[in-house]
Amino acid sequence: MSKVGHALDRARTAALVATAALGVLCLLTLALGSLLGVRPLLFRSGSMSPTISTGDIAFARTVSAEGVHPGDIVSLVAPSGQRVTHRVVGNTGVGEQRKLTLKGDANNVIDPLAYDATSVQKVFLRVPKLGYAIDWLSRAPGVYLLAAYVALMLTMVFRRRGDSGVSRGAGSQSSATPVSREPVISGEVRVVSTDFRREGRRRLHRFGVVAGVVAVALLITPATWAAAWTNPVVVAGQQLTSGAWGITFVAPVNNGSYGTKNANSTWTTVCSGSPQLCANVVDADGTSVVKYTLTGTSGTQANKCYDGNNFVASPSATCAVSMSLATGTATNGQWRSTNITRQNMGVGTYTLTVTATDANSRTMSQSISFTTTNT
Amino acid sequence: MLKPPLRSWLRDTRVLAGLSLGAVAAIGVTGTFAFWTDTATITGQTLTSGSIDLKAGADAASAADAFTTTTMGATAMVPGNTVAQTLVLKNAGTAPLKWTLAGGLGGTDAAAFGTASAMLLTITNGTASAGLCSGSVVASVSSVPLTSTTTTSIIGTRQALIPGNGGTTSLCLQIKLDDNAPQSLAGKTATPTFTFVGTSDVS
Repeated sequence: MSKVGHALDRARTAALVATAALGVLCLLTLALGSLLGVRPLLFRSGSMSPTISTGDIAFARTVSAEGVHPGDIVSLVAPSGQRVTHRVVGNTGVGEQRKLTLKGDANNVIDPLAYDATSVQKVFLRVPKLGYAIDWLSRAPGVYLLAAYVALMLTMVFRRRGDSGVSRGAGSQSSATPVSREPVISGEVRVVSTDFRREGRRRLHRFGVVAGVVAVALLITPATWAAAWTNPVVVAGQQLTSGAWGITFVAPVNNGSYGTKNANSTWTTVCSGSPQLCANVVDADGTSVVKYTLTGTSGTQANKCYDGNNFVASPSATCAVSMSLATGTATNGQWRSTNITRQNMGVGTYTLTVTATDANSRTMSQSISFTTTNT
Repeated sequence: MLKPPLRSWLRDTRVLAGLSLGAVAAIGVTGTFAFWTDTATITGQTLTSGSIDLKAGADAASAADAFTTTTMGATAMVPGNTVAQTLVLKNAGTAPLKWTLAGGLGGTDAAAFGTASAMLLTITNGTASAGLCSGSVVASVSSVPLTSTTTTSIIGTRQALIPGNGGTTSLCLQIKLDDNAPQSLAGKTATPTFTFVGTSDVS
């Protein structure tokens, strides 16, 4: 072999040793991480900068929310579904049900809502910029490089001894450790015939390439990689306080029982000096139209109602008779009938229903009963 | 010194190549198990080549990462009354974004208003004047009752692309106390809150 060849050989071996060391480191980290329940966090925004910047990876351990203190950096899932990693500002609550107030180091305000949590991931280690590398390797063109890397490594793994492209050193002999060197792949490659072995090697090479591509596809496909980044902005309205509106009170004045035959004396005292039917109405808008319906339930006008002039068969649409504002104001006053007289009514029992209707067609009504007598 | 069998084992190309694959496994596992964490962003920095940074304000110049309205409040609202706010959404990042909207009522009597569906939200592309929004309705948000949860989705379909680097969209938010609001809501108080979420997913 030429000098250049040897140099290349050594370089390749060195590179292989380096990647193997990296691989071992990664596997050990993974093993340790899964043993201790450690999860990596990839930072997609800079809300924790300068402590943790975009593209950093941090490692976090799941802990009870009870055990975190202001100053700790914790990661949790917000009600919106977004994972938030911020510094603890406050931790209140009873038992393990905690309410955590968080704030990003780069944010000048605390997060608008406190987070309910029983357990959170507490950040304990940060690796700067590693996230960029992983992100790059997860999409074109990085992912092709990764695929090529896997394919290359798999081809080497499945290569038959003696077919070596990379030197194992002059003294390396196949007979030294037969068990570990014997590729235990399939019966096919154990066939003694040289022709078959060559054929097997070619198949293995192809298998290596295909397996490499598939492996990378499987490893890299997880949907997490495709997640788009989002950026919220909160628009806070001011307080909206409602005032008072509509009809809150309708009460026909209870005329009670009327004892005189043809005078309106009792009525007079009840309805502010007027011999009429009346009702008190409170309407914050002062927009109400107030009407009454007087229906005889027994006696002279049984089953009849008053249409403003005469008693007609009840029920009748004409029996809703307008009242006019007599005293007070439109928002709080007494409404009165205008032309009913005691003489019209005769003797009997009556139901008086007063209905107020405001500008928005909200209505409120109230009924009372009273009796007239001729004694 | 390593014992000869282990030493030669470690020299084996196949073993070394196999171990090298560990790095890829770690990347794959990280991709699967890592939590992506992202929230109210102040910087526009992101992992990909561009960035999005949604801001809101009464006008493009004052748009910020959080905005408190100036004309969306009332002290004695009665049925039929409206309040309105002109709102400009701005993308201060470099990549285009689309947006969605969530929101609702908070405060003492949010539940009362929410249950009665009495606070009705309308969003248009016009401007606010005397408590009313001009223009035409955006994303069919016309008299949509606000709930008592500020995370309720109002516009779930990603809306109009806002180009990066200063691109804006102008909206008008109008809230009306329903004409038929029950009397029981008199003298109650609630505060509306909206969250516009910009997303880089513009597909």
